[in-house]
Amino acid sequence: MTQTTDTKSTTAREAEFVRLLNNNKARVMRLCKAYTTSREDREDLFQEIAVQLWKALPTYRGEAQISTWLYRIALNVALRFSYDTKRRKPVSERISWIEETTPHPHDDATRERIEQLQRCIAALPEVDRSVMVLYLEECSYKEISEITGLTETNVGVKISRIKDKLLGCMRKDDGGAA
Amino acid sequence: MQNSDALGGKEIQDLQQLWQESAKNESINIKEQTMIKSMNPQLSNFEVEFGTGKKRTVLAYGLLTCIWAFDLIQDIRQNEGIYEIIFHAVALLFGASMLFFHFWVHRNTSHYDESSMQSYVEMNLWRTEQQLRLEHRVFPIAMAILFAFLTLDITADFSLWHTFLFGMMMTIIFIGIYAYRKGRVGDLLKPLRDKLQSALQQLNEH
Repeated sequence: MTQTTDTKSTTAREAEFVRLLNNNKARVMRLCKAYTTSREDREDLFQEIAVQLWKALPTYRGEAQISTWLYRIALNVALRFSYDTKRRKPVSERISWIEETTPHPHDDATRERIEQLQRCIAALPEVDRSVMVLYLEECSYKEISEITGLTETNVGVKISRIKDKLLGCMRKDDGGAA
Repeated sequence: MQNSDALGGKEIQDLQQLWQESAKNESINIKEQTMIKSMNPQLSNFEVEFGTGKKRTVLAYGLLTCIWAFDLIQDIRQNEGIYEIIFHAVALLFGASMLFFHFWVHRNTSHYDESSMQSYVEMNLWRTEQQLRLEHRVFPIAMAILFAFLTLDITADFSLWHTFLFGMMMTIIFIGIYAYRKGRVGDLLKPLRDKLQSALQQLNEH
């Protein structure tokens, strides 16, 4: 009886992890896009983030919101990945458990705008990029502060400055395109 | 200035919306079972460490059984003597038992619930237990029996020296190995069981 309960419990935990990953895969994917340039790297990074989330699961005590906890881990992995990619270090576990991705069905104009936004974000310095990604993810200043370790005031100042930079970049690209 | 701010706010909202859409409908299909296995390299390597119930082991024992069956038939047809016939009969019995055992394990392991890590771990643990039981209990005693008959066969054909130097010594050695190892299956399994239990506990704790 106890063993049956244990089996059910373990299966439930696994299902919980898979559910967490599935519920947040769009968020994680957007973050991956901000730190990688190729699809292969993006999938590697996604996989690495998932592995780290799995390893970190036992340490999650529910003190922070699950999204804050997830972003904190994902961002750390992304920053390390970005650093490692420059030195071409292989990802720890290259086991393919991600199936083929399908291209997004946006029209040409939207796709171009998305690519333009991604280019502008990629051009930001790494800390600014982290803050901006979280801001675009609609995280509050408090959450961004908890994730990045910056003070809330600092986050506010940074966001205001990065917003201008980002909008400037988008307008410049628009002007260039026109 | 206020107009400019309002314009900037609207633009930022558009960018936020655009950002949210950037991964919309982009499907990433996660192969859950492979993912769960790959999360713990210890578990994914676990499978390849033991040959119990593997197709290649089944094939190897299948081949050995055929060879021993052929030898036995030849012994009977050419009337090679009772000890040689018994020796090959025991070898054939051993080969056939191994073939049956590995085939049975192979069938069992290929039917476990692959979506559950608990089931995956338990099945591998069970398989390892069978492997150790085989190596430490069945194999030494089977070899001792085989060499006992080989000793009798050599005595019939060769000198008494051969009997002492080879046949009897080997029989005694395997009986010794059996006696030494028969209680070690549990000891060998314990650290393995602990390791896997801690992996499962890690899952349970969350």
